[in-house]
Amino acid sequence: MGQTTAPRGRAEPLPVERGRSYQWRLARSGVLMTLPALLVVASFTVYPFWYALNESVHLSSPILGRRFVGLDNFRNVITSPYFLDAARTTLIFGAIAVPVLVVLGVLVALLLNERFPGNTLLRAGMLLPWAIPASVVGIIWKWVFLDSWGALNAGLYSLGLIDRYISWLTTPWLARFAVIVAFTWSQLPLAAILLLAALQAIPDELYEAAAIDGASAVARFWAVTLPGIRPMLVIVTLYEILMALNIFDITYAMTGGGPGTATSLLTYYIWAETFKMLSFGNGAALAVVIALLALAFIAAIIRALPKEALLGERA
Amino acid sequence: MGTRHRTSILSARLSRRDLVRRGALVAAGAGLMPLLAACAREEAAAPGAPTTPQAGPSPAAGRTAAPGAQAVTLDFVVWSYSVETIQDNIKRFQEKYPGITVNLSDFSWTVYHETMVNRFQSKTPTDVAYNGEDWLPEFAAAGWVVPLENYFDWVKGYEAKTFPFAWQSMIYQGKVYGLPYYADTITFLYNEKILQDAGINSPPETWEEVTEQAKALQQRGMEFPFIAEIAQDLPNTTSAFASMVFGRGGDLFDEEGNLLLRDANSPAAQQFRWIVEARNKDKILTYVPHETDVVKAMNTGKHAFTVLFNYNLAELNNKARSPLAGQFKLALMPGETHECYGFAKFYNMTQMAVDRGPDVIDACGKFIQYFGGEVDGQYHVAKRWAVEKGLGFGQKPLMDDPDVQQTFSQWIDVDLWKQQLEKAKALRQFVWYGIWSEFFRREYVRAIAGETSVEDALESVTRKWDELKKQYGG
Repeated sequence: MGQTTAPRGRAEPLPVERGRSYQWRLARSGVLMTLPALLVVASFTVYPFWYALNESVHLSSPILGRRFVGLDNFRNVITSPYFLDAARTTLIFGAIAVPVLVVLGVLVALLLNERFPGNTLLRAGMLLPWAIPASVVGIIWKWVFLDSWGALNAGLYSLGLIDRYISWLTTPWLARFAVIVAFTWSQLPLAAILLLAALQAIPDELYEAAAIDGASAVARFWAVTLPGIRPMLVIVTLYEILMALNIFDITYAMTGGGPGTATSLLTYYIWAETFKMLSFGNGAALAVVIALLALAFIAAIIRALPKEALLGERA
Repeated sequence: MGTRHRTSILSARLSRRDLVRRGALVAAGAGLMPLLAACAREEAAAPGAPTTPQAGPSPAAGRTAAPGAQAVTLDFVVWSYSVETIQDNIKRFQEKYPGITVNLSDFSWTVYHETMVNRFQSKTPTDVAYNGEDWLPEFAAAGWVVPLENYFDWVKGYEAKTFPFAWQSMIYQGKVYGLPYYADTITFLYNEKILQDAGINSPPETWEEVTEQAKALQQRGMEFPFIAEIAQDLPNTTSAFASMVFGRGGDLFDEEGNLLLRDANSPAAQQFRWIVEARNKDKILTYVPHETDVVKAMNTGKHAFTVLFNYNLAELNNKARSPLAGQFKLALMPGETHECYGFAKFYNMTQMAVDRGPDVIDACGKFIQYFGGEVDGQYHVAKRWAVEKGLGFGQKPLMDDPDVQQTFSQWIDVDLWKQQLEKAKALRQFVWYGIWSEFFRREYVRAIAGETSVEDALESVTRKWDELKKQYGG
């Protein structure tokens, strides 16, 4: 270890000691700088989680009072047929909506990544659905799909494509389809923009090299584009899974959870248990169950993915 | 183009991987927080025990001026209906009572109950609020709203001037809690022209006739002659069902608090079956989740019958907005007795207002009397709702008001309406009714959608009723 040049009149600390001191100062300033943000995040995440956890083990009703009931609330909600129905509906919804959304997101991002007149205008305009509040999205799409006076039936009928109006929102599977369409429409802009950003980070040289090697457009997509956007695809997929689990406003405004309970998702069940049935404990237990399930689900996805999917590097 | 290159800020593979993984988990956690936060709420000061007028001051108390001071600010909460009219009424009230300022908050009708539960639980300042007959027992038992007659002598004087069904709607455990914002009935409405074109000379008088006429209309090409407002989240759904049951001469529960749906031959069970079969067997019924959807659908001419809050008839026959205005009529509720559901929505004073002291109580009294009662010999606000919006009223003197008569005659057969009003009755009230009603609607819509059988649905709602009755000490 060579001795470094010391400033005049002061002894230079040993390199190892200087390194430790530097690391410690770096760590300390890092903690101090992130502390305000951490405190804000903690107050909006840790406290509600703790509060919900605490509520979930109490019978908590404005009329009946409050007392500790252990895990009774969890047993109540998990054994309820409504929970199973809502869970199944939510899973079906997520299993269809998320892949559709991701695939469409990729296609739209690829389109927007091309140069053509009006591209900039299209990019700005396509963000509009994302900027509309979810409840308004629900109302807009209700007006599109309503059986008697919806725009879709009127359009299809006037074009001669149907000879009688279709009961979109009163036929269970069609209502589910309608909700998926509305959800996809509202979420597609963000997914597409995020994927577009990832697309634009792929070096042109890779495409040029692939072209020189004679790769077709499809081959370039699989060999260059997809690996390049993989980390963002993971993020978008996880985000959309969470959105699918959290969706409430759109179904509430569009179908009210119906017909029957065909579009009643888990979030609706939490809402109904908590604020309609005045069972705050049951609602909290349900929220905890769903939160833990979602976290476990996402952690499992992340663990199951090969590391190159997260890092965007080819094996 | 030069910016399109991969950046490699993080060089270590492990740390990059960790970063992405942890970032995703943090994002996941943050995304789930709304779920959890939805269930977080402020704890009640004395859970389960209704607070008394002598209870300590609430957090809202800080807004009150010192005793003896003139200025009082009231927080008034309503569901969103013609908010501009409410604001104008407030303006007029403030001109009459310059020392009182009123802050208005409005929330969607479909989430009003949940919003108020949240609001009361978290002690969000609320002095006067709209309330409904179906939520009164719940809100009163929780100690959130107070009986007006405990604070104002003039309240009892309104009993003789109020329709019995409306008065009954505002009573809980023998005490009156409000004065009417409006009072109305849930009635049977039909398109007269459609019936006449089909050679049907009079509207149906029984539910069997509804089916017969609907089938006749189907043969002429109308797919769903009957359209209803049905949604599991909408309180109106239970009320409309009750109104149809009343038409058959039945009820949902007896005076002892026994659910009558348990008897398969009861009018309530019969009507439940009728609705389900109208949808799934006879296929004469379709439904939409809101009354405004029904009004629009009726105006397409694709439906002939509906059961709705009566004020919708004013909208249906509004020549400025409804293409088929003039074709829609009221009929007595089908069934053996033609009774129907009558109700009042009313102004409630809250326990929070009481906690703020006598100045605020006095201001609330003035406010409620101005909005729901008689001031200077006039029912200013109730009359305005009736004339401008076609809302029904609980105040009997308005029935003889020439302006009201003239306005109503433009959209309804007033004599027939009076007949229906005489047959209107309020629902019996139980603390757990509001909660049960939520459960009932879930089973109701499931049966209508074919997700469960009528028998299973009736058994389920009966079991829930018994469970709640036991839980709430009925």
